[in-house]
Amino acid sequence: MRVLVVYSHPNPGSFVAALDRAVVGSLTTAGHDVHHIDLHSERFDPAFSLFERLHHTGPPGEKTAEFPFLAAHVDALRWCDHLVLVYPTWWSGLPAMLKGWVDRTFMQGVAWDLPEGANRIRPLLTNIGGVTVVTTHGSSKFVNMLEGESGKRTVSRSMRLMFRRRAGFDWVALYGADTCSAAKRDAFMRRVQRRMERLH
Amino acid sequence: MYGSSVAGRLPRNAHVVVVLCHPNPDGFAAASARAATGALTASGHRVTLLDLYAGGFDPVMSRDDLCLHQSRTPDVPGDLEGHVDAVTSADALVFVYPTWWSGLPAVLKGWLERVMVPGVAFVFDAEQRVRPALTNIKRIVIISTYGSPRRYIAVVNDNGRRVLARALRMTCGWRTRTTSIRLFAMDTRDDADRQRHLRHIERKMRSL
Repeated sequence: MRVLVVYSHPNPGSFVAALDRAVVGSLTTAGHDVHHIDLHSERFDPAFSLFERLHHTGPPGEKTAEFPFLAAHVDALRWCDHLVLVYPTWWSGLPAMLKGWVDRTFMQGVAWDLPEGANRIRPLLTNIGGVTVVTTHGSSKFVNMLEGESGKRTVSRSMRLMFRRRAGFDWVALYGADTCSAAKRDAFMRRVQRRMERLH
Repeated sequence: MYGSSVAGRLPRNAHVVVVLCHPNPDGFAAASARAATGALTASGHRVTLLDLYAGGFDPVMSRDDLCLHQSRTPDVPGDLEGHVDAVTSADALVFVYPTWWSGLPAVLKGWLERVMVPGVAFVFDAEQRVRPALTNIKRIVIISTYGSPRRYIAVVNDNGRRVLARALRMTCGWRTRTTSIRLFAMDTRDDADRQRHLRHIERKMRSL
């Protein structure tokens, strides 16, 4: 399977970075074709620009001509069968870096299409049959429930609606990461590896 | 206990911080922020406008930022001190932004990550539990536009609003109230709808 892994954490020495390496390692061992994007190391600019706002409903070529670095991201999105997101949950949602990647790459003509006069967009990333999220939360599951789990819903609803009909959603999350024991982290690491090895 | 201090009600001459996040200075979000600012000023409040795009705000949490964050000190990088001073002296926060992919624009999300750090938005108690620090905030106002109709947002959830009205709200006082002013199906609105919505924003701001 062709798997796109998008990783967003500023520190290569972090636990999330270790999870990312485990994801790529397990997918490669399982024989998948992996394309890896490290948003911080490539210094991705997450700020959706005025140009993109003004050419919001224009063809994707306009945006990739103005911002050539976006072209490789668009190609990767169109190429993959499965998407894996690896990130820390901050303020109950995606980090700004990853949210900006969505804001800028899920563009008209790539992720969606707006037929004339309609309010509702039509999905275009029908090549993507599933999405897996690997994430850590500093706080507990209970606190995240109170906060409304906005990151989980952003991926499982808003983004997934642009994918194939009935695309899968797999949520692999560690809660209480700020205070949990080394044993719990190791167990989570193995859980992530097993999930990736079993991806089909 | 009520009366002069109704929960969420602003005192006279309150300090209101308006956070505007939209790349277009001539767009509807900017017009909404002007409407809100004008009505608040006319009501006798002092307004600080933080225009994130105009100020070239960098939304990326860097490795250095994260080290400061994990050291749990209230230090922030120099470029953020003005933002921190505004937030810690505010009686109300007003957010004006477009909802994209049911969430906050990256620049506003990055503002939360980099400005709302330990010692500013929250503190850790002896048991390392997060405790609110923004007890000065009496009201959070969320002014947003949506490309999608209301029904679609009800299905995918208003995740941007959840971050502000729940996650950020939890770092404020128990009596902090939230107000949402939302305009759905933005792309098919005519000018009359937009003008009506701006008047609606002004009325709401006058009654804070």
